[in-house]
Amino acid sequence: MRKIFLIGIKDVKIRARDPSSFIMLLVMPLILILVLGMVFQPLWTSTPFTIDVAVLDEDGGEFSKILLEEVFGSEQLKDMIKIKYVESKEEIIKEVNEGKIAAGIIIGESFSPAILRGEDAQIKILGDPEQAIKAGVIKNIVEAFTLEVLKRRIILGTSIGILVAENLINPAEIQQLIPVWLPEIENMDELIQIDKKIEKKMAKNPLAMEYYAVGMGIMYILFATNAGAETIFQERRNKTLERIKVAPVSEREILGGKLFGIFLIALLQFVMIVFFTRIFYRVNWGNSLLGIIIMILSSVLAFSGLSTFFASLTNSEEQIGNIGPALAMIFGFMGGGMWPAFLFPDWLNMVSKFTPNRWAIDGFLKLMYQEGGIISILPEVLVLLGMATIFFSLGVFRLRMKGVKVD
Amino acid sequence: MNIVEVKELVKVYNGRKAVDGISFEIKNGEVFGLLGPNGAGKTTTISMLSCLIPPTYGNAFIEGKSIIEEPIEVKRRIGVVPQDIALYPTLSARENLFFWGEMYGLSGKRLKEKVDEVLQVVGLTERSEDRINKYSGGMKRRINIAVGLLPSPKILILDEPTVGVDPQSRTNILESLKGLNKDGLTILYTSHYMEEVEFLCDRVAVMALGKIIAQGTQNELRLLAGKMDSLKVATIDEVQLSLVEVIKKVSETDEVRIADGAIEILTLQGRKVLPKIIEVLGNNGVRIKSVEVEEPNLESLFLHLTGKELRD
Repeated sequence: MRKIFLIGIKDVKIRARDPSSFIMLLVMPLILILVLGMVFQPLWTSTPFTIDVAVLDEDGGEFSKILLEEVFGSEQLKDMIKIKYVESKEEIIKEVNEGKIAAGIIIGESFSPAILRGEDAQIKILGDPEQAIKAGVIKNIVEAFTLEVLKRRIILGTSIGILVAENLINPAEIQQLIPVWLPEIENMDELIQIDKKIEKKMAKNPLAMEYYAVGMGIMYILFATNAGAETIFQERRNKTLERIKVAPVSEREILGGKLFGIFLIALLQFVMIVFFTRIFYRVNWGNSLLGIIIMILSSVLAFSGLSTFFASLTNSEEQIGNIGPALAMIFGFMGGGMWPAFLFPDWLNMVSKFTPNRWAIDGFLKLMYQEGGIISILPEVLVLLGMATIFFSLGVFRLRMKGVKVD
Repeated sequence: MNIVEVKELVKVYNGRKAVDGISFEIKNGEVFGLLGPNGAGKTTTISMLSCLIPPTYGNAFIEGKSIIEEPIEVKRRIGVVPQDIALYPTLSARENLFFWGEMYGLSGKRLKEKVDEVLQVVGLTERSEDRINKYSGGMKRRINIAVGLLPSPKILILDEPTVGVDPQSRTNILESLKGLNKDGLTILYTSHYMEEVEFLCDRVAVMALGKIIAQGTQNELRLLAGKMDSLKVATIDEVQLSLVEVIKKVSETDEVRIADGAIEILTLQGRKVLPKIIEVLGNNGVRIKSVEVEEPNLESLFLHLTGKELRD
């Protein structure tokens, strides 16, 4: 056990003396957090959080009413989404260009009739790129609405088809019966579920700096653990692995020491990022110190496991050096490091759940913006520890199969 | 008493025998040399004795502990100095020594004392706080050796420890090793530098193509070479043919000839007969310009046994 500890400490000492590591693992993320935080701050802050939307309703039919009155006018959204009705498409474009609105919605002339006829119905959204998050929220709500409509149209179409075929109804009467068959959307909660999440997240006015402190901080853990994993191969290149092996040190102690080193390097790096951003960027990481410690440990463990597995799939430090940063960035972006995952399309939202980044970010955001404390982060912690276990097991198995070879 | 016993050791790599059934013993307190060109199997032999790689066949024992059955016990008894400089460049010499000492189970006061001691042995106490990447090649080599001394080994195994070292550092290293041996340390030394082995080793095994082709003391090996000493005495004055017969007599050899203003003599005891030859020439008024003595050495032995130069 003592030798495991000593090998890990030695790796940290070596890494700490490497100026390029210091820049890559500490200076870079801090600069990135600062830049992203400052650049994207306007997209994140608005007190209270409201989204200004312009609507051109050329339809005026049943379905546009449902969207505008029942969805946007619902209890959950009416305070957040401020609708302004306009008369022309040009007016929407002008408002978007001037940044006065986050998004414009154009409901086509034959939107409702087209839905009833089972034809393509068009609804257009124009968004202000500088208010991408807010525009994304509107896009998500409209997409959720159209999906719901599509679902109902299939059921409705089937029912009407059966009634007409059985001569139980005259086709001319269909239009009049629509309001009866298409009652008020009861399951509003399900329809706007995504937006509830937004409301929760936005409840305390998140700052871009805070979001990117979490997102980039988490992304850079993988850079740190990869740097730690490189030492397995450096040890071989420097012939020091050979020397450790001729000392009375077991292979288990050598491997344990290297893994401990990976964990320690990343732990120190992330703790320093948390500390630095708290002091100098005024990032509020939440009120639960224990929660923060648990999240830090479980996140670093998950990424250490991932890097161990990654190292076991590679054969040299060059391979880790070449592939590692790309992997870290892909995981970072997919896991919500750059944009909040609730803005992702469904498929990406699902994929992101396979990355430790997503669970780590969600856990920290809960500590920062919700009042749930440690209990609320339990699912994230369990998933991260599960990932750590799986990745470590696979990595260690493969590394032992390789035998930490020296020749 | 034998401290090392190697029995029919074989290592096969990809169907090729890197070490082919070698056997030898090393006595307590002696310096044993493994001499051979690159690729002879010296490093593979040392890797097996250090328990770094297992033998394909055969076995070896360090103080009676098998390298196969008791590798940890063997590792506790040996100090190994690898051919490459196996140190952490960004750590200081002292930090390196502390780390390696801890790997050998040393700690606390004992570790500190041992680190100070080995630094003194290799003469680098003054520079011990400098990082290894600030050291010259020779100094790195000395710290590399110091690491091998940390565990107070029963036997120090050195694999070509002077490769790439300047002559002054090499002499320094060899003198240090000689001193350690005088203090009772057993040494296994591999090299392809014949002069080093001749300077340092009591007994030598000559390796080629994975096999030991000869082993014994240096004198035994010289005799094995079957070569005589060659004396070349260049003269200012011409040597009369009648004098050749006298020289043959005092040199106890018939192999005397005159060529290019010099007398060339092949004899079994060159150093012993040289004063007599000089005396004969002086008594006969022949002035001497220069004298060269060439004795058979391990280089010539290797050439004799394999038909190849040691550095081929």
